Formats: sequence, C-alpha cells, structure tokens
Amino acid sequence: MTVLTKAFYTLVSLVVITVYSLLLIGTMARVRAKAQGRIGQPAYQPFIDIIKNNSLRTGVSHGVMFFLGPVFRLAGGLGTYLFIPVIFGSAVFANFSFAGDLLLVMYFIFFGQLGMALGAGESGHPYTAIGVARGLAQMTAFELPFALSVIAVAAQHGTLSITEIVAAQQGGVANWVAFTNPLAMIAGMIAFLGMSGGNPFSVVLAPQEIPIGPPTEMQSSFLGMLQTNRAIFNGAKMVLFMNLFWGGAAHESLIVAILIMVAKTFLIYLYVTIVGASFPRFRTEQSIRFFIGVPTVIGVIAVVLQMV
Amino acid sequence: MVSPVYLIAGALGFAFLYPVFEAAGRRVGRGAATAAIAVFLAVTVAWILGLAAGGGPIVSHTAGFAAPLSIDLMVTLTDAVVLTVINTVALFGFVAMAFRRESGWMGKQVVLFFVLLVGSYGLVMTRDLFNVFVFMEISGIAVFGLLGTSRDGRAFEAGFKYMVASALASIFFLIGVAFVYRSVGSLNIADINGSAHLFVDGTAVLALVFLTTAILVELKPAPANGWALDIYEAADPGLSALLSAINATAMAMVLTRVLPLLDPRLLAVAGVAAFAVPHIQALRQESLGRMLGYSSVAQVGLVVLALSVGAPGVPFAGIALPAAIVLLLNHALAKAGLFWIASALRDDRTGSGEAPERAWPASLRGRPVALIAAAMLALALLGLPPFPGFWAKWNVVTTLGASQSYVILAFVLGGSLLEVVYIMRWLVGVSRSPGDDATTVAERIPADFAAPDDASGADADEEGEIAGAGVAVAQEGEIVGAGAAVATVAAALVLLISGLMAGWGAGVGVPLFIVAGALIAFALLDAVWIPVAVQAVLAVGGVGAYTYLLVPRLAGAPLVFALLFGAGGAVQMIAFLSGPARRPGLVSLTTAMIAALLGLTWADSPLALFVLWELMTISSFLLVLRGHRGAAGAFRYIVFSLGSAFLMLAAFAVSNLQLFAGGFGAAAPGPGEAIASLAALGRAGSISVLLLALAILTKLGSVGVHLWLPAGYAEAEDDVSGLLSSILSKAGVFLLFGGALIFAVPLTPRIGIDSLLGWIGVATAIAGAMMALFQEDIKYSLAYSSMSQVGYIVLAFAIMSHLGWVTGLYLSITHMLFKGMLFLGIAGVVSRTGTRLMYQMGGLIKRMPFSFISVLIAIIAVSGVPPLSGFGGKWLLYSALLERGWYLQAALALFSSGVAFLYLFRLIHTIFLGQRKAEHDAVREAPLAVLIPQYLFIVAIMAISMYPNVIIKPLQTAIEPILAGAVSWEGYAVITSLGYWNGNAVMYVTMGVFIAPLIWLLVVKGRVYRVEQFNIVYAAERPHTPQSTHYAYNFYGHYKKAFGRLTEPWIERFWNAVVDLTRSTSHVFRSWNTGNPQTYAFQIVLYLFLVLLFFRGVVL
Amino acid sequence: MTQGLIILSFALMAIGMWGLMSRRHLIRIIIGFSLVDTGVHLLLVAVGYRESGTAPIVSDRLPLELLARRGVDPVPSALVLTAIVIGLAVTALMLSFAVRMYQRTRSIYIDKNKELRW
Repeated sequence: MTVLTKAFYTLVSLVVITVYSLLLIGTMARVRAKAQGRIGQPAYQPFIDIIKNNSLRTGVSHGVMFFLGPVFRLAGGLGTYLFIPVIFGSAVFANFSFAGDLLLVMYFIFFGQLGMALGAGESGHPYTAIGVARGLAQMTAFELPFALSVIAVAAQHGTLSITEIVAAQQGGVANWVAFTNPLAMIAGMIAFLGMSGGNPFSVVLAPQEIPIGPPTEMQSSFLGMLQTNRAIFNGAKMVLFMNLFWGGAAHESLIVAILIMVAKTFLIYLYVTIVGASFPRFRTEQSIRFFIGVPTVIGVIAVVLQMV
Repeated sequence: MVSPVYLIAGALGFAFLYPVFEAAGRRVGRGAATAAIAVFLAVTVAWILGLAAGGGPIVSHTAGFAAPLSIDLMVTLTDAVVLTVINTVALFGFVAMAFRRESGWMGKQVVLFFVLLVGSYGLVMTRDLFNVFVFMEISGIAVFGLLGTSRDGRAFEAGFKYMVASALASIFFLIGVAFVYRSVGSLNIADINGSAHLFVDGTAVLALVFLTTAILVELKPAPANGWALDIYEAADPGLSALLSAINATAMAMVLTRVLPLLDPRLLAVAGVAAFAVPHIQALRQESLGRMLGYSSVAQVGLVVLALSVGAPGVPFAGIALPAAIVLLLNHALAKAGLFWIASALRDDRTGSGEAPERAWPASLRGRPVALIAAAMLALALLGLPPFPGFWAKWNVVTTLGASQSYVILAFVLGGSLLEVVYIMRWLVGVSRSPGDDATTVAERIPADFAAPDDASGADADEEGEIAGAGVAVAQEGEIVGAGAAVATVAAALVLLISGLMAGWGAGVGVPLFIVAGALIAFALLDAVWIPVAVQAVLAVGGVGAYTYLLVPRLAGAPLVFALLFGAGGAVQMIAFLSGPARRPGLVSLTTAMIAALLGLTWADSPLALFVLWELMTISSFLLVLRGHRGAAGAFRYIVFSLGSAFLMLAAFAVSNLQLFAGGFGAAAPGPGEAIASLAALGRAGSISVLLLALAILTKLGSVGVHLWLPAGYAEAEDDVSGLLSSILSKAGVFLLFGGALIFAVPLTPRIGIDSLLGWIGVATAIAGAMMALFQEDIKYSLAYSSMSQVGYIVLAFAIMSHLGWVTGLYLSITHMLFKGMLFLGIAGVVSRTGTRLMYQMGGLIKRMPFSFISVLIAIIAVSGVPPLSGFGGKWLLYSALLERGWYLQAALALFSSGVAFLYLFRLIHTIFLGQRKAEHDAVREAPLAVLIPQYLFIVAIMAISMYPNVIIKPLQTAIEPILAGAVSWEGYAVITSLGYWNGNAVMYVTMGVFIAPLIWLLVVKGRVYRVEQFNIVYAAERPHTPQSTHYAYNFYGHYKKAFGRLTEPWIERFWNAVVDLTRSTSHVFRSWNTGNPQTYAFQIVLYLFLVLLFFRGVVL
Repeated sequence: MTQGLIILSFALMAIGMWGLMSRRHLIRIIIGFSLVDTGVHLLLVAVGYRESGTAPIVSDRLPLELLARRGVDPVPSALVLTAIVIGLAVTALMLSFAVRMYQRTRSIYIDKNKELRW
C-alpha cells in the first residue's frame, strides 16, 4: 500500500466519521430537547456552527500556547480516532491501528485534553482552570472502572489488539463481550458516561454554561476546531466502546458494515443521552465517589473472574 | 627496645619534675610536657615497628626475679598499638587542654594528667592481678583529682558518685584477688589463665564472679553506670575526652587479659546490654556531655561484645581482638574529638528538646574546618566508612551473622541506629544553615495574616516564617582555641587516614579512593577560593572520564546504570555553572556522590558494595544538609538511609555474605548461582532477601518508609534536588536489578517476595501521586512525584519477567531524564521568581518560554501521553503486568498515572499559565547553564520517543542473560504476546494530525489580535489582580474532599507515635539513673548478683 | 580461725555496705565505705593466714625449705599494706569532696546532692 493510498483512505475515514458524528450530535441535541419538552435545534445545526465560526474574520489570541491549544485538541481527537480500527476487515477503515494497541488509544486520549487545557490555560481565565481541575479529577475516577473493564476484556481474549478483540467477537451476538463478559461491559459502560461528560457527570462543563469559560474565550476558528474535534473525538470513543463490548462492525459489504457501525454507535450515544436526560448533576466529589464505588467493584469482580 | 618500665617511670618522673619546668614559665612547662608525651608516643611507635618486624613480646621483670615472684610488665604488638592510641589521644588531649585560651591546664592538673597516664600505661602493660588494682586506683585517684579542679560545681557531686562506684569495684576486685590467690596461689595473670581448670566451683568461681564484675563495672556497663554519665555531664569536656578515650581503652585491655577465663556468653549478654541500653537512654539527652557519655559507655559495651564474638567456644575465633582494638582506637579518637568540639562550642544543647530550641545556634556553620572535623568525627563514631570503626563493625556484624547470633546482631544494629539518631540530630543541629529552625519536613504555606496572639508580634515574612524566631544565629567570635582545633583536626585526620588504609587492606581501595579523592580534591579547591563554575567544569570532566573508563568494563544492568549515573550526573552538574561563585562543598559532595554511585556499578564484593552505598548515603546527606532549610529533612534522610543500610548489613550478615557474593562487575554470579547459594542457606536465605528488600524499599522511599523523601529532595538546594531525585533514587533500583533473581526467592511457599514488592510498588505509586497532588510547594510536589515514579519501577521489577525488567530499566532511564528536566526547569523558575509556592507564580510562559517548553515536554513524558517516551514506559509496564496476570495492579497503576496527570497539569498551569503577578513582569528566562542540561535531555527524550528500539533493544540485551524474553521486533514495532507498539509510526501519525490542523489554523487565522493580560471574558466584570484571578491555591480541593479521610497523613502519624513511644521508653530507661549514689551502689551489687547467677548456670 | 576471720570480714563488709547504701548523711556513707574497706583488708589477711604458722622470715628457726609449709604467706600482707594506703587516699578524697558538696548545696545529705541524673 502506497503512502498516497493510505492518505486517501485516512481522508475517507475521517470524512465519514466527522459527518456522521456531527449529525449524531445534532440529532441527540434534538432528542434531549424533546425529552425536555422543547423543539430543539435542527440536526444539521453543528455544521452551521462550524462553518460560521470558521468564517469569522476576527480572531483573538492570548499567546502561542493559546493558539496551539485547539490544534492539540483536534490532533488528539484525530489521533485517537486514527489509532482505532473502525470497520473490522476493512482496509479503508483500519486507519493506523497497526501503530499501537488498546493502550496507545487509552493514553492518546490524554493528548488532546492536555493540549487544550494548556491552551485555554494561557488565556488566564480562572474558569478554564476550574473546569480542567474538575474534569481531570473526574477523569481519574472513571478511568478506574474503565481500566478494569478493559483489562478484563484484554485478559479474556489474551490480547490488547483492538482488531483481535473484535475478531474474537465475530460469529454471532452471543460472542460479544457484552454477553460473554457482562460485568466488564457494565463497568465500562458506566465509565463511558463519565467519559462523555453528560449528566450526571457534567459538572466539568459547568464553567462553560455560565457564559464564560474555555469555549467562550475560544472564538472563531479556534471554536470551530474544537467543535470539529468534539465530533471526531466522540465518534472515536463510541467506536472504541463498540469494538470493545458490542462486537465491532463487520460485514462483507462495507456499506452494511458502516450501517452496523452507525446503528451501534447511535444506540451507545442514545444511552448516554437518556441517562443524561434522566438524572441531575453530581458535584465533582460526588461523581468521584460514585466511580470509585460500585462501578469499580463491578470492574474488580470482572477482573478477578478472569484471574480464577 | 626501651623497657616497658621506663614508660611508667618516665611518666611518673615527669609528673614530679613538672613543677620545676613550670617554675621556669608556663610556656616552658607545657612545652616540656608536650615534648614528654611526644617522646612516650615515639617509644610506643618504636615498639610497634619493632614488634611488627618480629620477635616476641617485650618483657620486664622487677628486681631480676622471674614470674610468679616478679611483677611482670609485658608489651605485645596489640599492647603497643593500644598504647600508641592512648599516647596519641593523650598528646592531642593535652594540647587541647593546655593550649586553650581560657583556664588552660597548669600546675596540679598537668601533674594529675601524667599520673593518669601512669595508671593507664600500667593497666595495659602489667601482667599482675594485684597491680591491675593498683594502677586502677592510680588512674582513679588522678581522675578524682582532675575532677576536683573542675570549674563546674556539679563535678564534686559527680566525683563523689564516681568514687563510691569505683570504691565498690575496687572492693570487688580485691575480694576477687584474695580468692584467686587462695585458689591458684599466684597473682600472675598468665599463671591464672593457665589454671583455668581450677575455676569450676566454690571460692574459685566466686573469685571469678567478683573479678569479672569489678572489671566490667570499671568499664561502666549499662545498666550499672549512672555515675559515669554524671561525670561526663559535669566534667570539663576535655577531661571527659581523656576519660572516655584513655581510661576506657586501658580498662578494656584489662578485660582482654582475663578473657580465657570468661564465658563468651557472659560477655555477649553484658556487651549487648551495655551497648543497647545507653543508646536508648541517650535519645532524650539534653546535655551534650551526657549524651556523648552515653555514647561512650555504649561503645565500650560494643568492645565487650566484640571480645565475646571471637572468644573460645565460639567459632571464628581470631577476629575478636583486632576488631575490638580497632573499635577502641576508633572510639578513642572520635569521642575525644567530639568532646573537644563540645568544649570549644561551649554549648551543651543536643537538639533533643520537645520543641525545637529556637535560639540554639548553628554554631558550626561558617566554620568549615570545625564543621568538617565534627562531621568526620561523628561519622567515625557511628562506624561509617571509610573510618576504622566501620571495618571493625563490619567484621563483628558479619561474624555474628555467620555464627547465627541473630538476636545479638539485631541489638547491635538497632543500637547503632539509635546512636545515629542522637548523634546526627546534634550534628545536623550545629551545622544547619543559619535561619533554619530545623523543623521543615513539609511544605510551608505562609499565613495570610499574622496571628494576633503571636508573642513576637512580627509580620509573617514572604517564606512564612516568623521573623526573629526560629532563626539560628551563628555565634560571634572565635569558638575554638588553637589547642582544641589542632587536636580535633589531628584526630579526624588520623581516623581518616587509618580508615582509608584499612579500606585498602580490605580490597576496596580503588573505588573508595576515587570517592575520597573527589571529596578532598574539590574541598581543597573550595579552600583556595576556586569558583564553583571552574570546579563544575572539572567535575563534569572527571565524572565523564570515570564513566568513560568504566563503560568498557561493564555489561548488562551495571552498564545501564553506570551510564545513567555518569551521564545523567555530568549533564546535570552543568547547571552549577550558573549559581554563585562560592558554594563550599557543593561540587565536592556532588562529585563524591556520583563517584560512589559509579563505584557501586563495579563493586566486586558485598563489602565494596556496602562501603560505596554508605559513602553515597553520607555524601547525599551532607548535600541535603547544605539546603537553606534542609536540616530536618537531612536528619530524616540520614536516619532512614542508615536504617536501610543497617538492614542491608543484616541481610549480608544473615546470608553469610552470599547476597551479591561476586558483586556486579564482570565476575558477577549468574542468576542460577545466586539462587542456588541462597537456597543452600534455607530459611536464612529467604530472610536475608526480605531484609535486603526492606532496605532497598526504604532507600527508594516506598510508602510507609517514605518520610525522609519529601523534605530530603525538596529542601536540598534547587539544582541539587534534581540530582538526588533523578540519579540518587536509582541507587536502590540498581541494587534491585543488579541482584539477579534473588528477589524471586519465595518467602513462604504461598507468598513470594516479588508479589509483596509488586504491591508495595503499586501502593507507593498511588500514595506518591496522591500526595504530590495536594502540595502547594512545587518542589514537594516533584519530590512526591519521584516517589510515585520509583513505585512504578519497583512494580516493574517485581514482575520478574524479561518484559518487566526491560520496563524497569526503561522507566529508570526516562525518569532520570524527565525528573532531571523538571527539577532543573523549576530551579530556573525558582531562582528567578524567588518563591517555590506555585500559587505565587503564574503566567510565566511569556517570560520564560524556554523553561516552559522544557517543562511541557517533561510533563508529557512523565504522564505517558504518546508520542513521547513516557508512553513507551507505560505501554511496556501494562503489557508486562498483564502478561504476568497482575490485572489489579495494572488497573491501580493506571489509576495512579491518571492522578499523575492531575498534578502535572497543575504544575505547568499554575506556574506558566494563568495570570502573571505584577512582581514577575520583569523576570528573565532561566540562566543558560540551567537550560543547557534540560535541552540535552530533551534531545535524548525525542530520540527515545522516535526510535524506541535504540534504547529498548540494548536493554533487552542487558536483561537477556538473566531472563530470556519473548519480545519480537518488526521494524520499529515492538511485539509482545499481548500487543504491539510502533513508536516511530505513532510519532509520524501524531506529527501528521498535529501539523494538518496547524496549517489550517495558520491559513485561516494567520493574523489574530494579540491581547494583553486580563483581556478575558469575565462575566461582564473586569478582573483586577492576578492574585484573585489565578485559580491555583488548593487546586484539587474537591479531590481531597472526595477521598476524605484517606488523604490524611496516617503514616506520618504512625511514625510520630513510634517517635513518642521511643521517647517515653528512653525516659523510662534513663529514670533508672536516679542520680543517687546509693542507687548506683545498689545497681552495682545487683550487677554482681546477675553475674553470679550467670556463673551458676542461669543464662539470661 | 581462718574461717572465723573470713566470716568476720564479710560481716564487716555487710555492715559497711548497709551503711553505704542506707545512710543519707555523706560522712556516714564514707564511714560505711571505710568499714567495707577494712573488711576487705581483713579478708586478704585471712587468705594468707596459716593456722599455727610463723612469721615468714627466713632464719635458723624457719629454713627456706619449711617456709612453704610453716610460714604465713607474706604476699597478702604486702597486698594489704598497699590496699590500706590506697583506701586511705580514697577516703580522704571522698571526705574532701563531701566538704565541697556541702559548701555548694549547704546540705550534707545525699538526696539533696543529686542534681545530675537521667
């Protein structure tokens, strides 16, 4: 495979996930609105936002790191996505999963977060720091059940390669980790709630809601880039969870496989949205205590079951 | 050769002649006296030379009769050595006393001093039991007389107690003499020893009981020695020095005379009690003289114990006498020297009070000669290398181990540790920086407002200290009269030279001499005011050359660590170029520390290993002590480190020196051999490995024994902290990896030492990270971060697989790189901003961009975010953990690395981002010399990140001979049984996804409005001050809240409870010495009964 | 006779020890010490004493060959002389120290003279 082909495939893969994820975000915003008895925005609103933001002529920068922050963030999202094989058995959607395994993906998630946090930090806005402090604190907490569930899955299949984990789940619904290793799935899916930052774990985003905080300090193309990243990053995470627990997306026909992927990730996101619409918000220390409580215990049990 | 009798006659004669000399003037008098002692010294030295050349002992018979009718004086080689020591101390001691500025000795004091010498000579030389009594009384009366001339009125009380005790001892001795004469019919000691068969029952045994008790009591054994301590407290320190050095030495020789008659077990029990009990009692001493006195009686106890070790009936006879003699020599010089320093200090405080004695002056700081001498003498007293006491102690301890006397071993090492506590507390106190109140063991946050009820009423200054209080003031004026100075320095030099010679003899010459050479050479450069920058260049060159010469001789893990120590150390020393031109001891100690670390890598015996380990500990301890507020940290550091060293010593002894038998050099034993030799030892093998593991964990600052670590690293000077954290912390790691597979030896069939290590590693990683999270002081945060990172290394090591070990070495190297960078980066920031508290900084990115980049790269590397080298470490670690099946540990390690992410973000955010303070508007970039090492490390990190094979493959080769691996390579991709990682591809992808958006952003937003500070969207308000806008203080308050009581300092509380317990135990023990001579008399009688019981077959 | 002397000497020592350890008055303590000392001297003499022996002076009445059988052992006597001298010196020193202690604390009682302890 030449470099050019690979570049082309990567581009295709990125375009698909970006378009799909933006649509998904728009749809879910609408779903949430319905649940709250509002009409809500059109499903294509995210596209409009991005185009608008990128066409703004004025931009304000607080310094080099501020300028680089969104770049880091988007690079993190892109990288995370690109290290995950999206469609099982497809050369186009295998991305750069040959470069590293599950551990690489888990750690690459931090790349964008760190860069963004630094960029926003240079703005000097106190609420960015507060938001980051909360977010990181919450992250360490949900990482624990997430790590346990990933370890349980890796131990179950004897591999850290995402492709191989997906391969092991082929041949019917009964082979999905969700059913062969339900405890790991439960721990992982609860952790996913935290990772997505929806209710009840959305206090991280609170500084953004009062109309201040990182996204406000970030404007124009900077904001557009963050919005693009949000789509790609969300897509990447959902694809990851789909691969880990829900059998991945595999079919002889690439179109069907993409549709499977769409269906599964839609359901995963719907789950986050439903939970978010149903619960109020935790304070940071409450969510930390939540994650190191029941989900962690479930994760430990899942891991211990793999050990005996 | 001169007949022995002339020595006694000479001393006695001079005592009578002295008044004549003094009549010609005081100068003539003391000159003549000094000359006389010098002549005596020359005589004894001549005896040594003559006896060493061959020929029997020198004997003198009185009145031409032969024994038993005559009274023999005999000098063997041992006696000649002891007499030389006595004369040496006497010479120094006399110089110290006679030539001091105030109340120098004259008249009867000099006469009495010579009488004391007569008594001591006689005690050493006589071979007649009754004459022992006579000489005992002569020395005694001389001491009483000298006490009577004391300035301190309490000396009479002490003297009276001494007389009562000594009278009892004499009476016991006479009773013993009477019965011995009755049984044997001779008073010649050779005859008595020859009639050992007679001492089986009846009066003969009773005779022995009385004799033994008398001799032991004269040696001032605990628990019947309260009177002796009163003397040490009340007497002029100069007299105490002579008492401790001359008198005790001579009496110990008397004990050796009757050795063949004694049961070694009696000596062992008496010795252990006499060694351990005073150390406990000394812990609470507030009087320096009394504290040194406790130490003296304990040291003599050690000599008694040492005599038991090689006595008949116990295997390994033959080491006892030389070891005991060396201990005597070491103790005599060291203790005398310390007493002289005490007399010069005129400050009797020890630093043991409940609250820090705030006005206690740091009397030795700023007096380099006195300071160096005091440090050397204290180290010698504690039996640390390279001083003679160390070699003797090593001998005693290993022999105890070989004869499986584990209980005694435990008492010896435990007692030694207690001695470390109180001697070092004093040393740290007198040599701390002025301005340090020696209480800083954690970060200090200034209060916002001075407390209204504060007696001093002073405002809190910038550092949070109350001005005026807690400031140690160096004493004005000259403290050391010429005499004491000369004597002290001479004693220290004699100790140093003889210790180095002993080291040469023990086969540890070259690495030891390199360390000592570095220490001395740079100290001399300091003395002639060569600036630090010049020294640093020389030191970097020297360390580089040493490493360069060493590398071809090494292979495997030692090679890796030699490069780590050598290269890492040399690069970081470049930062010294920037500081002030005069920082006495800095380069000297740093170079010595690195040389000791390098020496470790080619140590070819357990002895060499241990010597270098101790040297490394000592030099780093002194480095910490140099810190601005380093005293308390240094104290904790040395106590824990020496505790660790003593555990290691115990491990060596218990395993009969089978641990690391061949060292780590080319002759290192293979893993098979190492394990087989341990297995042959059975249970002792497992125990020794466990002890060693504990020792190493302590040195690594594992959770539970980490108390020394935070202040130790953080309170060292800014550019030294990095060296300590990045290089020194790897010494323990080196022992782990150098030790082949001995830690795989199971403790019990169910529990492996390795799995214990693994859990401790995980716990350390989490605890360190958690504590790093809640620090406001950046250096404390980094110190705890080091603790956490080393926890990972221990965990990786404990996996005991090829991959695990590769991980451990990889982590060691990368940790060295990024922790060096972080500490240096921070050093630069601190040097410019003048504060270490993170919340007082902020927004420095625009002023110190190069430091920011370095810190940024370092924290990306530490946190393990791809694509930098840190991720390689994480990937390897989790792969290895999962391969081993340690899933829970892996999850916890992952959690801990998340926490690391928190404190790292906080670090960079609160320092470089956010709002800049007005007072930092004008700060400049860090000095070039501080930046250079950081950027060298960045190059290394980038290279490792891009081409992980460059580093991982050699590490695999290093591990391969010990643990074969199942790691394969495909181009740049590492493939394990579980997963794969292509560092090169990750780097390219990351660069790709980074550059593409960057270009996009540059295209659409090539021109932006650059706004000034405070131009932020802030809820329609305008922020006023950076202080109120910079979110930095208590950054993770919510996190603390979430974990609640888990974040409380339980371990600190535990150790505080231990300290309290020890202090109260110490008080219980010392209350035994009530100060009433009648109690003391009762104790002596009790002692007699105990000895009697022992002889009746009751063994304690 | 020898037995008696030895018992006597030990009795003296016991009395002396009792005095030494139980009296509060410094001078009485010193007297106690003197008693013990005397007891020891007596013991030494007793050790060398020979039942119905004679003075160990070699002469016509006590030729050298008989000295070992009939003469009183001269060595202990020599020892006692030395011991007495030393005992005297120590007693004198003790008394002088007691005087100085009294001058310092204005108390002759031992329990008022124990500033140094622990």
